[in-house]
Amino acid sequence: MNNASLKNDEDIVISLRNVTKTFGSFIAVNNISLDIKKGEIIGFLGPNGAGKSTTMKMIARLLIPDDGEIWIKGNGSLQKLTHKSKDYLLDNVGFLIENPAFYKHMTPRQVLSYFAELKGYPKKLINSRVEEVVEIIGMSDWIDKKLGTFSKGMRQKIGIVSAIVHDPEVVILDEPQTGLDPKARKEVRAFIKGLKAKGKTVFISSHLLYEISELADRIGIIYNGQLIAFDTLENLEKMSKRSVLQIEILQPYDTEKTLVVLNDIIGKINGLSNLGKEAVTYNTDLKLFEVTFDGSPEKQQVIFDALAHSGLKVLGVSVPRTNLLEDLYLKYISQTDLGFEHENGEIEKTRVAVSVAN
Amino acid sequence: MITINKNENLEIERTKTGLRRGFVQIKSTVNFEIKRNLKNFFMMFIALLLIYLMSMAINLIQEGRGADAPEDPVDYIKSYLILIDFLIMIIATTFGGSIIAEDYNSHTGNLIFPKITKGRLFTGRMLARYLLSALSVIIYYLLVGITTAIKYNSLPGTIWISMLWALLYTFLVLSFVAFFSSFMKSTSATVVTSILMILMVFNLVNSILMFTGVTWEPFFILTYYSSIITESFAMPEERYVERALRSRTGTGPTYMSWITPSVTGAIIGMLVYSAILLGFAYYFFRRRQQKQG
Repeated sequence: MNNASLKNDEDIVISLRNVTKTFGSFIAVNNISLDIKKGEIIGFLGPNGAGKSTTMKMIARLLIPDDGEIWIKGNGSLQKLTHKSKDYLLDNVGFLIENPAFYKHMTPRQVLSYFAELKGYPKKLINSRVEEVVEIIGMSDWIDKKLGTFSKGMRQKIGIVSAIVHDPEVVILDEPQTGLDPKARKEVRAFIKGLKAKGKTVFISSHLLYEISELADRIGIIYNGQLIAFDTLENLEKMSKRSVLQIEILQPYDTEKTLVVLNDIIGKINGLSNLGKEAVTYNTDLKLFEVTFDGSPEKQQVIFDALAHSGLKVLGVSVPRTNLLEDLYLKYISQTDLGFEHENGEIEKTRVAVSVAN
Repeated sequence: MITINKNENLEIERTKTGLRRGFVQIKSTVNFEIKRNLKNFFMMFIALLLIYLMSMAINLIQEGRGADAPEDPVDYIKSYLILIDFLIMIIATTFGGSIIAEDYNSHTGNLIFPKITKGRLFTGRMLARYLLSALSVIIYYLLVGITTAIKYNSLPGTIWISMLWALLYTFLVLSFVAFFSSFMKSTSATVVTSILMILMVFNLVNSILMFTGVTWEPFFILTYYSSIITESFAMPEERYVERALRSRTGTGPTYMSWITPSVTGAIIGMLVYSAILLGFAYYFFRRRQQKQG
């Protein structure tokens, strides 16, 4: 990746290029690349230990990547994040990393004023800015109380405003809704939408699928350190829906022989053989046949035709309901677990299981 | 209804980056750290008040039992400085124990580290904590000075020389504690290790060296520098004594015991020692990364 190619897309505010982080022999983040564009909300989904926090910590320079580069927009162009450029580039980024821990003898006013000062916010405006952001989260009455007396949810809220007190262009929030009650979650959701309305860019990680589906323009799914999907929710859903076909075949049938037949007729379809070791597999739980294909509607039509002329007693072909992000999330993760990878090691992101009725 | 930024049309002009920002950040850190450590400071004030009152009580009890008060006010001052190295150790560990370790132990580093370089943070913190430590030492000397002045109607100027040595030694011990804080897991582990090192390990090493017949001055023994705080009132002509070990058959081998470093040796030694400790502390701090959460 050269500097010139990064400068081409003026909308990109943060770019991760082949970023890898290991802890001993454990690969926490494995070769992640993604671009975050101005004004969008990027949702980062993944189970605990998937690498979400590690990725965010690398952007904050709390952790240093073992490999790859991070570029952040500063002064109109993307610049590589290094120890030297860190101070200047991160001025326009606000962070909430994991559960915020505060100095418990201090008050929100003292802590937030200090943070704003560190980030170069004009001194004469700091007090009003601090009062303003604390008011946003409805905690004005607590602004001069010791943080040690706050509940986890209250600390979380102060943590969120600590990320925006210096009015950054990009806000990175790692699990901001952890520990919040439903009312507070709703408030935070509205708060994040408000940031977007102001033209801010938000990069938010969560394992709360609903929150992400409500907020994010694009969603990245990270699992075992790898970014296994990254697109809009609509596209992810679209890809999934088009790819999943469940085919039920009239019983009794010989599973082995049927698999051979299906692989014979469907496996020959151009393009399918690239996607997995077997184009068709049998799901013993559902008693359905599953076919791997690239998700294109044209290919789907070819599969239907092939099935119609196969001589198999096909009872029905169905598409699983995968409208919910949860289904997508679990699907992508399970695909990664099954190891559907190209020969070059890349995860096949559009691979979708197709189940065929016998 | 949530609204973001009332000052919508306000163009935010940040403080310039570079050196000017560096100064602003260090200054802000000093202010913040002083506020943050005020509670420790008040506790320390009570502790040194107690030590002062204890020393005074011992003097009063002795006089009450018929012992004469020292004729020389210097000796009277020295009676209050018997525990000065211990006091400085307590002060330094109180203010320095958490200087780095705390942010990793309690995860406060997740909030603070993205906002300021570790070099500036460390500089600001050292300055703030040294100011508080120095203020504690000065208060103690002021108490001793006032008491002496009331009792003797005069105050020897050497007390201020002694205080300057105490302040320099405080910086050294604070640097030593900061060094441990840079790689220890928690504040309490830092405090315990530092105290053990100062009270036991250095003295043990010093004794071993003495008895093995080594004659060189123990500049690397941190606690050696504390002796100049009291010796500075009247620097001895010979800065070491030779003693003979007793044995069953009579007099045994002699060994050299150093009393105090010279003025030049103490200044250079303490500054170099502090610089090395702070250099390592910063190096470890900069390389230290948050554990994966």
